[in-house]
Amino acid sequence: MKKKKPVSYEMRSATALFKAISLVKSSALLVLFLVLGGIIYISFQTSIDKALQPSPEPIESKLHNNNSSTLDPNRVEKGIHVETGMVYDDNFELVRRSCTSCHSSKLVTQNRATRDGWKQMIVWMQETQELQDLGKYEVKILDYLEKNYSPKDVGRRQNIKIEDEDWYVIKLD
Amino acid sequence: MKSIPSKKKPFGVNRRRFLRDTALSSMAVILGTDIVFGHNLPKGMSILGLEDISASLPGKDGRLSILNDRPINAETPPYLLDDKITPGELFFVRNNGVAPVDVDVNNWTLTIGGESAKKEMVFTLAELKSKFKHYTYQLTLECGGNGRKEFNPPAKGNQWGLGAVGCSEWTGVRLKDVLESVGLKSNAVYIGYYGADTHLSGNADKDAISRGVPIDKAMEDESLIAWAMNGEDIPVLNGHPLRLVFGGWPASCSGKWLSKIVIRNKVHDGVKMTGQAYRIPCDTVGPGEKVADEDMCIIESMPVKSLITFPKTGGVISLKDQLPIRGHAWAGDQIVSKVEYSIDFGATWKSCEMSKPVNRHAWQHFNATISFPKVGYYEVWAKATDDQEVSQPMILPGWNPKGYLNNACHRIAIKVNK
Ligand code: HEC
Repeated sequence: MKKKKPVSYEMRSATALFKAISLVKSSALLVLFLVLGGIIYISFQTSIDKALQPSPEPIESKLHNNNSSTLDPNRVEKGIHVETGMVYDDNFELVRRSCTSCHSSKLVTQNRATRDGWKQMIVWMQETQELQDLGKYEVKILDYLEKNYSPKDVGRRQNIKIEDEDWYVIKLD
Repeated sequence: MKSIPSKKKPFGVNRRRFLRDTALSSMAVILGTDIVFGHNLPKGMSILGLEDISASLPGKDGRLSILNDRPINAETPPYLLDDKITPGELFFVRNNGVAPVDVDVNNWTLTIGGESAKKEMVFTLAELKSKFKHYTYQLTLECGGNGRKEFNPPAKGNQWGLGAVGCSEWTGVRLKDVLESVGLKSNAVYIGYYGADTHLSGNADKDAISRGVPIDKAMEDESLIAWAMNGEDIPVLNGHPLRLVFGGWPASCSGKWLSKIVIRNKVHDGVKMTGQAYRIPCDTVGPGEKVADEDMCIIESMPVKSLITFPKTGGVISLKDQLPIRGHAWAGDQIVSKVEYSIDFGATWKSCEMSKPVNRHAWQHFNATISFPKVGYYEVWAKATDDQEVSQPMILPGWNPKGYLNNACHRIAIKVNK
């Protein structure tokens, strides 16, 4: 698969590093890999610990948008944080940090569940998908999910939804 | 979930590539570099909800609806499935993990092993292509969770609408020819696959998905190890350079980026074979009921279903005109025997013309011409019936915790004006 995404600096230097490594004999390579793996593991843990700390500063100062993108990473419209599509509410930052490292926020926002249902999904991810113990933050995460992503009763089958502007004249030949 | 007896690790394939990619993807998780704009994030912050979803997916039509960008999950709106054979760029994507990058076709190998294989053998792609006879079949693949969106109470997972289905022309070798050349022990009951995709967490020791099928399904003529779709390389997101294709069964059985097949002496216990994944309650349950893992059964053949691919829903037509409708119908391991349509919310049904399947597991095509009696709002509903006299339900079928197998009849809205 060809990469379409721009290669970032970190990515490129990592590739260069590995190109250099690949010159070494394969036994040495394995040792290096293990060491590197250790470092990765440790920094991964640290990053998670950091990520889970409630942010003392407003998000604005954390995210600096120096990309050509028109998306403002801090924009909130009608109560929705535009970039993630998540409801901008208490504990938003905590949930974003805890729940979007493996998959995008879209997996969270697509789903609706009771508090117990969310708890079960968290337990399932912990047992099978490498999600870590959320410790004292779990309660707050569940507060957010329950408040903003609870199920609505939609019956056995809903009406077909078509926006006014989406009606079109069928072309027949 | 239980650990897997023989881990995937396609080291034989291209060890260096594998080591580099897994290390990179773990680093990517830490540094947030494997996403668009990721490099803007301060170090130590692993936020990946920032993808540029307006860009279309590699090898895919920009009109697919993207349900999730990490992992990539995208479905095809029904009106784009109008072709008899689904083009690669319109074929839906259901990825459980991260697709491999820089696939090295020349060094790609497929290992056949497992406790019920008489020996372990490794084939290069070139060997597979030269040693075994090639076959081409039109095979329907549908995600087990297609239609999940409609379940109430809501079911967990990607909220698929109607379009996680497609029928393309697949070319490859028969799985049975390859398995027989290796030799199956008499206690073989199941096969399982491993692919080169990686787990979302970046943990290289974890498989994203490793499912399979019973030996009987594996030994069918139409069960392929395929390298081509519609005469071209399989799209990268659909498993290039090699994948399994089992028509009529949940598409998750048809492993992508295929690197290893294990012949098992028990039901394969890879990732997403156990627990509640791709399973439904063995006995039906009421909406929202909790079901213990041991009371869940593996989904095999998919149920009868149909899709109206012309016209697109929301069409306006004048009373003096007749409306042609067309679409496809499929029925897992069965054959569709009839398709009917209704314009009065299921009160009366009229039959459609329909084709025979080109081969087993190919979807069938139907069409009809509708005259509306007067102006107003209509819904056109389609209902297929299989050769066992089983039809699609008009409301949702039985609720199940993970929201699989919604084959309720497809409805489109039409307005008839003066
Ligand atoms: C360590 C990685 C990781 C983290 C962190 C994580 N998840 Fe997941 N999650 C997964 C994986 C893997 C899946 C399965 C994805 C798939 O099959 O497409 C998943 C699936 C889900 C699903 C769909 C459930 C289903 O049954 O298919 C939801 C909803 C979800 N995650 C929500 C969350 C929430 C909320 C959080 C924060 C508390 C979170 N995730 C954090 C790995 C993670």
